[in-house]
Amino acid sequence: MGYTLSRTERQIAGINEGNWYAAKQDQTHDVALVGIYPLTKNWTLSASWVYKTGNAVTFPSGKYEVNGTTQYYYTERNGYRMPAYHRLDLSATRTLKKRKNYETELVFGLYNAYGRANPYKISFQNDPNDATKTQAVETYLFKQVPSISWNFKFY
Amino acid sequence: MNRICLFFLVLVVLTSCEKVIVLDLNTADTQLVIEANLSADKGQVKLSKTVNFDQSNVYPSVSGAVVKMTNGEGQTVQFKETTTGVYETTALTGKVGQKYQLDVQAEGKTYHAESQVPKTVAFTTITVRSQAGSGSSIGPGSGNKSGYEVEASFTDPASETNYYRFILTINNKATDDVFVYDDRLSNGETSNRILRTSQTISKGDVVGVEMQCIDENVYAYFNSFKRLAGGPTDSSTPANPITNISGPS
Repeated sequence: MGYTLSRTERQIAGINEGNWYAAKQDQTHDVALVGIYPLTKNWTLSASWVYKTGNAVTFPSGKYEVNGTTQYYYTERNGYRMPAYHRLDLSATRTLKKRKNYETELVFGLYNAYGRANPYKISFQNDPNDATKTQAVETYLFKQVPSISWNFKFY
Repeated sequence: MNRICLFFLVLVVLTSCEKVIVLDLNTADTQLVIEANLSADKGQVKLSKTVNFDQSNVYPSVSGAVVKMTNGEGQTVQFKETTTGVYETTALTGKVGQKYQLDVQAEGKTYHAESQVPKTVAFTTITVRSQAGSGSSIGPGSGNKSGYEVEASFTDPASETNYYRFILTINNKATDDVFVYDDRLSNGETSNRILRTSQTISKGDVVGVEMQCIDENVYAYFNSFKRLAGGPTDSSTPANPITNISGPS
């Protein structure tokens, strides 16, 4: 079980009017929980849960128009946060052969077991169905990803 | 075995998605947007305001502001409001080499800007040619669908640093692309600039090209404006375009 509390800030003359601002990668909370449970002689179950605060990003705080082009108005740099990232991974390992020199096992895994759509990026655009509105579009990568892997270890 | 692998691959690929979300964005104080142009025939200043992100794209105009411009000889002219939010004058015209100062007083705040009229450079040819429709689009405004493309040619004077802005109109309506160029790589040479737009130009359309010679501050504004027009991306953090207007005070 691990927890990290951290803060990274930058101050650069000419950026953000010379004020301190959070670095993009600033991760306030970082939690990791891992549990391993030997079920029987051959089967082991494990679960891991991670939680991270989202990146500090700059989102629009308003909008205006110059020459017919919509432009967004920004206030402070990196003043917003992406939604938090968290996921639960589950896996069951079946030891197939265990000899003095080598070991093989089969791992059945489920990445992101509860299917959290962790956002990869958030972008802004004019609504394609309604020219009088703008909208935010979130792209996420994976929900659940099942996997089977066969491991061969030799000593 | 192969079908199981294929099934998993398809499952993974189909689960990545885009969805429209509602963000809780801040509502910043409204800012005044000043768009001012002075050409050889007239001066025009448009005043509008910013709105919140979740409001509709109707930007309120600002009426009743006091818009004044002073030329290099100390002569000051006040603009008259012709339509709501648009202030014009023909009493002051842009003369090459002169510096002009703009003072706007709106809603109790004052704003000030300065710009210089650069040397006039005219284009020599406009070519309209049919585009084979390769249409690779990378970046805003690039990539033509099949149709026609417009190219403006001009000779850049070698003796100074020049900045240009083009406005492309299709059937009397300006496209929303921003075309700005400097002469860093083409000083003193003939430039052929294809004005790439995402709008299709079809047979029978009337195409207009307006070439503006601008000064360095205006170039800095439109260049940064163009690059910010898409909003935040994965690799860049946006900020407001570099403006040559100071205020409010």
